[in-house]
Amino acid sequence: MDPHASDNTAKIHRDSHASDKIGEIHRELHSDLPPEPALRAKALESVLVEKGLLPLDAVDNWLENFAEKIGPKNGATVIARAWRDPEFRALLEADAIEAFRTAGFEARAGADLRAVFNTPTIHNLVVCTLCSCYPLGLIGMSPAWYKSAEYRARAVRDPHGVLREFGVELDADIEIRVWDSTSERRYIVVPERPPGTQDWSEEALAGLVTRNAMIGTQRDLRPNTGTA
Amino acid sequence: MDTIHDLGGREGFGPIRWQEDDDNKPFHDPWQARTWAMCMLIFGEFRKGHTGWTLDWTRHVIERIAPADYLAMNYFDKWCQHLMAILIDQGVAEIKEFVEGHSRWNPPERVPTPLSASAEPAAAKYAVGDAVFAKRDIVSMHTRLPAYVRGRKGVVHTYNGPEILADASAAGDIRKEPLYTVRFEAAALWPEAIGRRAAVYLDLWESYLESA
Repeated sequence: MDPHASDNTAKIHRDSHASDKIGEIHRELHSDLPPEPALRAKALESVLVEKGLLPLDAVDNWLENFAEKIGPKNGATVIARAWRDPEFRALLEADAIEAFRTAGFEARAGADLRAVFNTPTIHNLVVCTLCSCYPLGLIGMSPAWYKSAEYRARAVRDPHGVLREFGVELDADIEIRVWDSTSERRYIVVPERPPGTQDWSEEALAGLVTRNAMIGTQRDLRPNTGTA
Repeated sequence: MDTIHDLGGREGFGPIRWQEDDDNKPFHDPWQARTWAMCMLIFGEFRKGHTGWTLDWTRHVIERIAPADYLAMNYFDKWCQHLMAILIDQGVAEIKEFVEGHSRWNPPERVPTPLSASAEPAAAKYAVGDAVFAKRDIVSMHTRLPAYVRGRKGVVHTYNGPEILADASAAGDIRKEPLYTVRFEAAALWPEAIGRRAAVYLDLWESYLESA
């Protein structure tokens, strides 16, 4: 045992995992900090940079890289390929992470993803009731509505009502499957290929796939709004 | 711990806000983008520094934002406040530094200490098609068993293999447990859903379940 172990412990800066301590810190922060979120974010960044925990240009570099590599287009490309290529579709169904990798989109190690497929009698809808889990590392930031308390509360209990607000009216024989993301597994909805797109290229097909369709708040994709 | 974050099935909320959201605009304000980037960058530092930080601990820190504030604050503002709280908890920063927007002192170099990790779990107890009950009571500090399925009966839809148990990971203990996807019929969850063609699927760890 290192005789100076206690000195080292002081430098370790470990997380306490003490829930009530965190609750108290939150109450103090919330009452003491300036009310504008932009000012709070600025204060956080200044403190991190001044303490040497964050290089000055790290945030700008990170955002540039994020914008370049990750966004809803990645998911749209994978879905369009699955529509055109039955073998790729089978891979997407069996191992979605591998399908994304094959298409050139690398996921963080340990990330998991399941693709759920809409059919004429099944409609899939994704939510995270406990926080806002979303396949961020593959298809980018989730939309604002996805993170709202309204969506998180209502999607599991009143999926028909939620879909109606997004303009989706389901026939009575269609089953809704709501996927509540409770583990590290993320979900992506594969919508049905719209009719009349047999001759379309992968790129044109990908142009039809919206972020809402990959969550399930859009069901029918509209070929008339895309370009063949 | 059952705080306000467990929103599934809560009633009284109105129409979904912010339905119109541009697919190509992931952030609405620069401060939101910068907050997100800071969190992702600093999480990487926590991992490297072996502070005991885990994504589940981060989730719990967000859950501990006071209930009224949790519902009122912007999503990215919650991430900002949670990162401040973690740094204060670790002894790397002080509240007054964030209030002033300047550092008063520099933290010494971190000394990495690995997380505790336990042995691989035993074989899976349930098989696909088995009927199970979600437990009524969970005493963990942080859990991924939502209140709305507790005590309800479902059917094992998929066995996903052993996965890191969120409840243990939130306290810095890395331990795997069999993870199942369980299907609950909507009518088994909500009194008004009888006759509706709807079901909810959740990924649930073995210790969340009981044989039906």
